Amino acid sequence: MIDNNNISINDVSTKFSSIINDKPGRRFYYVISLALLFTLFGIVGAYYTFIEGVGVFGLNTSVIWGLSIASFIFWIGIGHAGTLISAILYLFNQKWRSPIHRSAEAMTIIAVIVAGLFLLIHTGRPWFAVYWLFPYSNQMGVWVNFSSPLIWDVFAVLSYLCLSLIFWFFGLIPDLAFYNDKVKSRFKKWLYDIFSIGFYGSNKQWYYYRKTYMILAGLATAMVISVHTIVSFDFAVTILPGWHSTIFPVYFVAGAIFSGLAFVIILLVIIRYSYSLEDYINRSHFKKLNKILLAMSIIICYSYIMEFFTAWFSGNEMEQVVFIERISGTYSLLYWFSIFANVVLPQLLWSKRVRESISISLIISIIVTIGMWIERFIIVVSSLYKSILPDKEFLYVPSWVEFSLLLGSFGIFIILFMLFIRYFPIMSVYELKSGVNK
Amino acid sequence: MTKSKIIVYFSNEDKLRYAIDKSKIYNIRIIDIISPFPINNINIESKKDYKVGIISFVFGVIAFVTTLFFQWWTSIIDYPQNIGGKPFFTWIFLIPITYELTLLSAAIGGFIGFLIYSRLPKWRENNEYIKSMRDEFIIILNTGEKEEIFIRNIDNVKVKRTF
Repeated sequence: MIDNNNISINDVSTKFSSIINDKPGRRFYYVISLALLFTLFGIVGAYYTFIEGVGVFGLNTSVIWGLSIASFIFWIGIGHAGTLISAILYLFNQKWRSPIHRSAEAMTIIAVIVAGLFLLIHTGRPWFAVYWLFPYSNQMGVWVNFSSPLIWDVFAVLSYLCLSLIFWFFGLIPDLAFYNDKVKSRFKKWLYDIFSIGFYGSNKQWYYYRKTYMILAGLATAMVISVHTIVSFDFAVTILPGWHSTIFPVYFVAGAIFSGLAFVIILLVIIRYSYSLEDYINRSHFKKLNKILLAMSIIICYSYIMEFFTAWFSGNEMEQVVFIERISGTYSLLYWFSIFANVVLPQLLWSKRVRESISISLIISIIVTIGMWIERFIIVVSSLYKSILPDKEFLYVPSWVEFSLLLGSFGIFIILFMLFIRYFPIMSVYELKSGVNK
Repeated sequence: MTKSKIIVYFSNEDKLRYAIDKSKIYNIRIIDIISPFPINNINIESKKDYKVGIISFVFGVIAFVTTLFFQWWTSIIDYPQNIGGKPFFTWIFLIPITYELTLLSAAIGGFIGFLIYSRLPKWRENNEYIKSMRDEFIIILNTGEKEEIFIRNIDNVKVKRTF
């Protein structure tokens, strides 16, 4: 919904056709080259990993999962808010989602691709990973073990990627048809012509379009809840203190939506600023996003408390040691930072002034994003570094290779997202049009 | 062979709605309505249908059965692996993959259903009426005397006739 009453349908068309036809400014190339530099670090790290094996990671005999798994969960989590905004809010008939859901969906797809890269790279030998992970009839006649959470992960992530792509592309069709008419370059016109599959907005097409959109939104909602549930099964089905817990699916899904929303807010501020879209993304959108952020923060807080409660109530000493170590052990400083970022800081959003201030919510979102990454790191490492043998501690410090992979993942994300906002409709133009004058 | 048609253009949604309401009084059959965004409550194919949903459901069911069957077949028939003495087939552990692929196939089915029933994909060039999505609201009528009177009585932008 657009609050500004002076905007007409033609204004929307003019604005978005100018976005597609304008030449990118100097800032665009600065950001792209910075992102390319990041990606280069990532490529060097990945190459070194493939040549030498995962030995170049800071892992040891006890801490077998490290930064790459934490980053995998982080990126998959980022991917969840896009579907929340596009599908779940659609099902709840929240009209305000129309200016923001397209970029959130693009964020989802790109984040899931980046997460998939971590899944591949952390195996160290991705060319072997093909037959560990995919059930094809190889020359040894062996199939993958379908009751293994690793295989679940592969199927969940790939299905989620495919479904998000379908959902995103389906939402794009009318806007590509619109752009096909507005774009000046002939090559682009031809491309938009192909990808808009001949949609021109007849009554029949809109009728089936809306029906199908509803079906896809329902399916995407069911999918998005399940994906992080399955990622959490990676931890929950192992019999390791700190991981073996039934609260994990809820905890992970809430955390995913929480971190994803924070990331959406960051991206929206950037888009709004760089394309001067103040008329379309305004304070009320940030206010509403911040409200969901606050709600998710409370669910996360509850999960943190319940984790400690179950550890204490179970009477299991192993379990209790892990949690005491978490608040007072080697990594406790990181843990307390994540508590501050994910639980304490978002409480500022109770105040209406903070919720409506774009700069403050940007700062909160950045800190929350960092806090959520650290939270995942804590989840992975804190159960592993304390060995079951008495008085044996295996400290884990990520090596430079892992950090370069993390940097590279951000580089790839930025590049793909910049290309998206350059060549695709960044907002759902037809939904914006149906929102004006009402 | 295209039949002769009248194409009436409107500048905004309200005028289009007004014309559609009027057409009921004049008892005129509207062949098609073209708009840059979906307009609520004007479906000219009056009856409801669940065709897309049914296709989606069928795809989902097929995927559910095949995925479960494939997992059962690989772990029982083709290559049973003894992993720590665990049972070869436990349906609970096969649910996650089955669930994901069922949803994915249902979505693909929904998309295919959309393509079938809205008669897409097509080349836009062949579209005789319009260069689409130009912020114009269009209704298409058959030629006839009744229609000509109707056009004179509504507030339209322009009228085009094809023969």
